[in-house]
Amino acid sequence: MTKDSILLSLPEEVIENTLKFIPDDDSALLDISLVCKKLYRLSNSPLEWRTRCRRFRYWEPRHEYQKKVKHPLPAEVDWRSLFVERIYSYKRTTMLLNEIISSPVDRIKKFNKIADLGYDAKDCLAEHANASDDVEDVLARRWYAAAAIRYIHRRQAIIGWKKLASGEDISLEYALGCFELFILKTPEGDIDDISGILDELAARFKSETANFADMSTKAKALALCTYMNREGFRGASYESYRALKNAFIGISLRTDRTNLPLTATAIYCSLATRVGLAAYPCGFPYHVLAIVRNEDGNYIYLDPFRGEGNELPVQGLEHQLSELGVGATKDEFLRPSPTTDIVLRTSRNILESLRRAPGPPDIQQEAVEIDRHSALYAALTASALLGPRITLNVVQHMARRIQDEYSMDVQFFEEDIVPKLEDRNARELLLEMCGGLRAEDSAQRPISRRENLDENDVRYRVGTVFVHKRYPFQGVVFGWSRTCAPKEGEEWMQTMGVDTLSRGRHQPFYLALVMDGSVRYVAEENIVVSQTDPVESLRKLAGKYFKRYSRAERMFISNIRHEYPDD
Amino acid sequence: MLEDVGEVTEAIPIPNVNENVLKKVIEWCEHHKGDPPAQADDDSDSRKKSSDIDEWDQKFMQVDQEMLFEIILAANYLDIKPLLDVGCKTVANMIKGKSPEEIRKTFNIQNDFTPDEEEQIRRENEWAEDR
Repeated sequence: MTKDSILLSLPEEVIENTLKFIPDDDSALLDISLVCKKLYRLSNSPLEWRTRCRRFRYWEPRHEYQKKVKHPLPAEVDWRSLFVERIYSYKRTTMLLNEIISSPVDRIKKFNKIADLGYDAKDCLAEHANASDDVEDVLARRWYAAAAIRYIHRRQAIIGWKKLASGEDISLEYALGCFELFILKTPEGDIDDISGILDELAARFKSETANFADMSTKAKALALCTYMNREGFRGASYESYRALKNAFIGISLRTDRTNLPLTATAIYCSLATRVGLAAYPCGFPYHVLAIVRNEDGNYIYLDPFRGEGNELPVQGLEHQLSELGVGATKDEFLRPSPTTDIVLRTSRNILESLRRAPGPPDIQQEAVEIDRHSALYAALTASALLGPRITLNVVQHMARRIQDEYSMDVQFFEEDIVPKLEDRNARELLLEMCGGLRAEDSAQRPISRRENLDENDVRYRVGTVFVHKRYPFQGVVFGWSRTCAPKEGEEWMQTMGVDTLSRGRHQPFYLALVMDGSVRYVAEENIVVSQTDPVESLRKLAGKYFKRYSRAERMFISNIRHEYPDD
Repeated sequence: MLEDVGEVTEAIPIPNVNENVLKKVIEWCEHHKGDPPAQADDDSDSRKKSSDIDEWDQKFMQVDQEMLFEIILAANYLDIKPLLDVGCKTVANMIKGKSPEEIRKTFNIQNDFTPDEEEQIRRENEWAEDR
């Protein structure tokens, strides 16, 4: 052992080059620093730590990461500590996600522990959400990682709106971007991305406008209006006015740039603020307008929805208000609106769009597919957190969503929503529901075994892909009972006419996840084993109960063996 | 590198590389001569994964430690960056997943920290929520 280490005898730049290939996502680099003095020194260059930090995209605001990146003396920033913390979050996220995937017990707690790491967990989750096809539990991994990202997004939005409610100064784009956070299906598209697009548009406006610096406030305000028009921002047509997507600022920015008066104005004000104008939304009845404050303190009124680049004379607006019968309180409608009001108005716009049946799919209108349940939940949450009072109706709708899919939201519900209810009985009832969800989550799941069954009893196994005998949908079995035993009880059997089935109620029934996202309870006689592989939408949904799809067996591989150990 | 020299008529001396190693280097270059030119090296690019070594290279690098480091030195000396990187990735793969003590054993390294210094670094490497 007296021989010198050949590794240490390599030229230092070669050792450094080797260290570059140590991956970021585990603590190997930290272990290396403990080996000996030379490796400690070589693995400890601030700029190398910075390079490693920069490979992570999402950071909790408290790190002030952007400020660190722009620091004039980057070597002065403690990049190593930042990296050490990030590695800790990374490992913790992966560990918690693995536990969520492998056991159904205490998922609520574990999702909340991940969400406590906030955006520091997002890069790691995004990697799992893109797990490659050859990962053993690819579908479950993608599904639960995506669910965790969506939860982090919701928590972020709730934090934003709570700040707004407590009087903190939140930018308009942030307050409205929170709606986006409820409906995003990917890690991308969050508020940072919205701000990024706005930054770019504002910078282009400035560089394309000759003599910008010398223009009057009014000239700038009008030029910005026509610029938006030139950039393709358009008010929605009468027919597509209530399309759900029009209410979302980020979707408008990213896709066809169609918008409502409110979204157009919000985009306008966000751009105007960036180029140094004092701009605010104005809560004019039925049609939000933009206000820009002139050098002399007077207001200039504009309509970014129409985008014509004319100033709206105040006399005309006053006249309209008189005709609407609000002449006496007209000043109220001609002043800048508080951001809270704009958020609540957006919430109402979303509810209004949802109230209308989706109708026949209009390709142009709903080119952007938005999950209606998530949009509803966003609108209700905004109204609950920012509205003057909270109604029982709103809370009940939210509770249903939590029961169906967002059980991890019980924490937020218990802490922020239920206490705002005035009715004591309702409060107790809802807390009981939350307690029930938590108890269910912590309990071991009941086990259904096959050992006492005949060969022909309960013919199909968990994971079987089937088509319904009478309806054109594909689904996958994720549970069964020997006879019809719906959780809704006798009433459900009566409504569904179970006894008119040829084999009646005393035949096996199957819980099925269906390609449109719904859950059905299907009689054995209606199950026809699918001759084709599952459609893409079913594969995605299947991650909730299955590890992966096996083409050889034409089955989904169960991730619920704890409940159905013999399937 | 050879392109820089232009038309070659005289032998190029390679004093630091022994014959066996040079044979390995030439074997590697022969196998990879059809490779597209490497992208400009950029540290800020997507994360480097040490496991990204193609199968042929993995086999090629299955040599004893001494030979592995000789190849790395030769690649460095002859400025063959892709071969240098394959060598470095191989070493990185030998490092990751090992405890400090295992790394010392693998590469015959003496622990020259005092216990206090070691404790100090351990603390730097830990991140506790309540810190």
